[in-house]
Amino acid sequence: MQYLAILRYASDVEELVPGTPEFDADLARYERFNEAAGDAVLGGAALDHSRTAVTVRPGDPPLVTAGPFAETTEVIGGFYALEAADLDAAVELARRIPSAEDGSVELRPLVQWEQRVPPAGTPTWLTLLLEVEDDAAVPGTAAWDAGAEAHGRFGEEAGDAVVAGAALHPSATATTVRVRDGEVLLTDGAVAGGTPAVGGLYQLAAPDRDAAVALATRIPIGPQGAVEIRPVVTFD
Amino acid sequence: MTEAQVVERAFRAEAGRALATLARRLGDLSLAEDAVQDAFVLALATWPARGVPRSPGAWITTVAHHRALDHLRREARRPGREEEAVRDLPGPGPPPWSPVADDQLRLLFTCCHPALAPEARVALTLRLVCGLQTPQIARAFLVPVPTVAQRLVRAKAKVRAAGIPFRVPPAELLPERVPGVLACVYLVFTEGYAATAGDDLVRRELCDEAVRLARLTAELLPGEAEAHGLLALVLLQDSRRAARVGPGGGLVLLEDQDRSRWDAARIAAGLDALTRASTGPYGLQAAIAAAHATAPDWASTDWPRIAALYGALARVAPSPVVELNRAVAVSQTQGAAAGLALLERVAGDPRLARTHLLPATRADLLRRLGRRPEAAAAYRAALALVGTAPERAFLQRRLATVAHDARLASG
Repeated sequence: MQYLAILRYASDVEELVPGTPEFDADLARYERFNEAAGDAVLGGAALDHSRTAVTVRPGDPPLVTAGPFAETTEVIGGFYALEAADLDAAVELARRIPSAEDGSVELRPLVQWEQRVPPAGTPTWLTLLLEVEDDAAVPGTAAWDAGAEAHGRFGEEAGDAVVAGAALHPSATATTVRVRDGEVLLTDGAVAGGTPAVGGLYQLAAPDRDAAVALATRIPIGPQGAVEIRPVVTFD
Repeated sequence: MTEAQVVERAFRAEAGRALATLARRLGDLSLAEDAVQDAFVLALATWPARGVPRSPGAWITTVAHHRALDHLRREARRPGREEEAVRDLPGPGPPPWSPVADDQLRLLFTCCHPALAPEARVALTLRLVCGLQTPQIARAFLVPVPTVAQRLVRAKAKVRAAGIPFRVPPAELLPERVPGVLACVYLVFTEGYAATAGDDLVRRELCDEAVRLARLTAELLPGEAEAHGLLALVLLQDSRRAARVGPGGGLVLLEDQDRSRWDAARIAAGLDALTRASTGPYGLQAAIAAAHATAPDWASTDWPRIAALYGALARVAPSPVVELNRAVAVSQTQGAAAGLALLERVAGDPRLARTHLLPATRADLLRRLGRRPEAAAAYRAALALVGTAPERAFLQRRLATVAHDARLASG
């Protein structure tokens, strides 16, 4: 099975500045995880601070605002796509992700995961698809298939700009993993319960923010939904 | 009992095992459950006339297995579903005539998986392991039937979509997972025994199911001392069930219970299970229950031992309720004032703020010390928080007594 691990941090923790020992130590923790997890990590990305986010709400024209979709106590700092035999194996991986100790890791079963090698030298942007969940549109229904078709058309339009794409099972299938004092704590459901919920994501290649926003406005999203755009950080 | 009830009971006794075996064979909990439910409908239609089969478990497993295969074949004929359905078809091999005990353990661990919400774990366990029907679970927990039905649907959808494995966790995960299973079983018991509200008959059934589950868990996990501790605990507590409710439905305190009405067979079974328990939280609580169960009367209870056991329990499983009970035990050996002093140490604990336990205990200690106006105030505070009718009636009787005594003293 494949899972998306959504990494979250408390929004009030101090931002680590590249070049400082704290930043390097944090990076080293993630490198150790990547090494230990090996092939189980299918992909992933680290995101810039949530204050660099831009939110697009559907409309004619779409409404573009600076900042994240909602101010929450925990903010998304990155994600991994993981391959694991079952939920227990996924939890074994997730508990070793550093954010499980500092914040949380939300494990969501993936309906679909695709990625390709990003074009060299072009920045990439993560777009979080925030959607009001519809119990009638779950995998295996016609409503779901219709949504998948719309995304297929977006994929064709966007072409090589799509670096990665994920479709998620509903948030009711989520499991949140936290490690506190060495003990693994599991909770049923997503951290930020309520609507809209993360229903999927794209990682898009675009030369600048405006180009990324222009691409994001074409992502099919329900009238009550929104797309949050976050710069992806590269370490090299 | 009506014929339907006879069939229902005979069916329920075997349904959990049949379901567990089918779930493993089919690799799909919902499919297995639907198939067992179909078998139940068929049993209701045929058993009253033909009688309960000699081996109901084999009957249910075979019928349900055929139903599941029929269902998969129908699915296979739907366009676009061929591949999925064919992949899901069970491999060749003999039909699962005899349910395997290990399957039940797998099912129990799946139902009690920590990635499921606690109330979903309890509902799934009662539905799938115990074979209770959804309306029965709803009645037991005083929630509307659609609420339980939806809880079950969501939980099963999560098991399937999130990939919750149908297996007994490997040895290294057992220390993390066994407590969740035991907690679920104990929750079923306390819901039936220490009822927060509700219908007596349903409560009794819930206690019986919990004892059955505890026995099953201890049998399936013979190496887990706490599983035996839990079995001992529920048996010993349950042995007092008949004696703790008076003729008018009122609560009878341990102190005033007619000990000849305690269930001697349950006590014996509980003491036997206790020999395999250890000093974990359930083992210690069982040892406390055993000290009560073996005392000829309230006065000659081994209070120093009980106080010491509560002390040990406070160390392995600290909780304000344990401290509260320790205060009561200490009040028996060292007097009500000593108990009251211990009680004050947990007085501000927010975890006790919403239950009647603290003011009710304080009221009793104050009453014993003759501090009647303070006792009356504490009884009133307890009455404002108490949930069940028998306990409310008890507190009101006590309040009337101290209020009367206070008036006599002042008049």
